Parts: sequence; structure tokens; C-alpha cells
Amino acid sequence: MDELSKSSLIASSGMKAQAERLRVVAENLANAESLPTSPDVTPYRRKVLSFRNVLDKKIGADVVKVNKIDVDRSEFQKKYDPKHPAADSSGYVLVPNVNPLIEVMDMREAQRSYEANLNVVSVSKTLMSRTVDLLK
Amino acid sequence: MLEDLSLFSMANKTLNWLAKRQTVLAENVANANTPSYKAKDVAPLDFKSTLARTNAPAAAVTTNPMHIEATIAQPMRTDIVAERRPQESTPNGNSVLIEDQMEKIGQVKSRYEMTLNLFQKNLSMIKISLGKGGGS
Repeated sequence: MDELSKSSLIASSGMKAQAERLRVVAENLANAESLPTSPDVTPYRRKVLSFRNVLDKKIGADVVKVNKIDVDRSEFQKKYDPKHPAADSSGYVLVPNVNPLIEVMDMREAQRSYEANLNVVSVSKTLMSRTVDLLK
Repeated sequence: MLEDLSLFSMANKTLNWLAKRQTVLAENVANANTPSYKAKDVAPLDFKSTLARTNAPAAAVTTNPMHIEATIAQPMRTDIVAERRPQESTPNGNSVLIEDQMEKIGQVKSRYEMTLNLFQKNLSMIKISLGKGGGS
């Protein structure tokens, strides 16, 4: 396989990984208010994902893969709401450990990386078509 | 056949080198968020190292008169090196700067197009000398 097709493949692996990251961000944001239904149930736990680079033997280069989708083990926040069905004896409800600000920043970063990968694909495509144009 | 003309073989080598560099840069961009990934680049194509390699070709040793003397075509070597002094790295040990990589990709693109234009121009000059027109 020629180098320019390889670079498109590598960049598309990056795009896939960033898209998955965006999906996790969406999941977290959507569940930011998912409160428990009773005092002994824990609310939604924030999910985090990490990347790792894997050698793709077919193209002989390091591509990126999603390592593992894990949960954020930080503590839940508490909200005082004695009327809530999930409130404990002192009137506090556990709230998901999702910080929308962090999620939005994560989303922005994913967007930037996705755009960078898209740029690599488009440059590789231009170079390839210019090479093919030599036949003209 | 065109490879016998030094200008065409030069253009060929440059295009190969640029395509290889594009692959390495694509790897960097795809791994822009991978923990402890270090940005890579291709060693520059300089005259001195290329000359040193051409002057010392590795050939198979002939120890028997029955052996066929083989002259091995020297494949162009592209050495991938880690970027020596990364400008900054994130807390997770990643040293890829998207801006930096985009700038390099732009460089690859313009140099690739320049080389292709040179190639095309020379080809049309040969066509003119053959009396086939094509001076456009």
C-alpha cells in the first residue's frame, strides 16, 4: 500500500477514536441529572475513556484505538432535597459526578482533534489526485 | 526509463520521502490524545547522508565463481526519529502539538506539489524536444 493511502487510514482511525470519545461525552452530559430513585441506589457514574496506540500490522504504522471505557471513581456530590424519593435520613440526595464544564472542554478537544485528522485526510487526498493528474 | 534522468529520479525520491513523512505526521495527529505518545518525524533528506549511502552500497559477497554478482538497488532509507525537543507536553506525557503538525503537513503539501510541477514541466520540455508540442 502506498504511503498516502496509509496516512488516510491512520487519520481515519484517529477520527473513529475521537468520535467514540464524543459519544462518551454525550452519554455523560445526557446523564448529568440522572438522580437515583431510592437512597440505597447510586446515581449515574461519569464514564472516562483513554486511548492507546496500536501497531497495525497491515499498514505497518501506529494507529489509535480506544483503550477502555472506565468509570470516574471520584465521589458523588450531595444536594439537599429532603422531598426527593432518594433523599437519605438527613435529607441529602447523591448527584452524578458529572461536571458539565469538564465535559464541554472534552468535547471541544475531541472536535479539534477530529478536525485535524480530517485535514490530514483531505491533504492526502489532494496529493494523491495531483499525482494521478500526471497522467493527463 | 525516466528514472535514468537524474532530475526525474530526484523528484521520485523527494515524492517518496514526502509521502513517508505524511504517514508519520498522520500517525502523530491520530495519536494527539494518546497518553505518553511522543511525536515523531522523518529524518531530513540531506545531501551528505544520501551521498554517504550511495558511495557505500551493500552488495552480496561472491565467494565462489559460480555466484552471480548481484548489484542491489539501494532502497531509499527513511529514518523515523522522535522529535528531540518537544515544545510542550501534556500532563499525560503526550508531546503532539496539533498546530505544529498542521504546519508540517502544509509544508509537505506545498513541497509535494512543487516537485510534481517540476516533474510535469520537465516532461513537457522533453516532449517539446521530441517535436510533439506539449509546451503548455
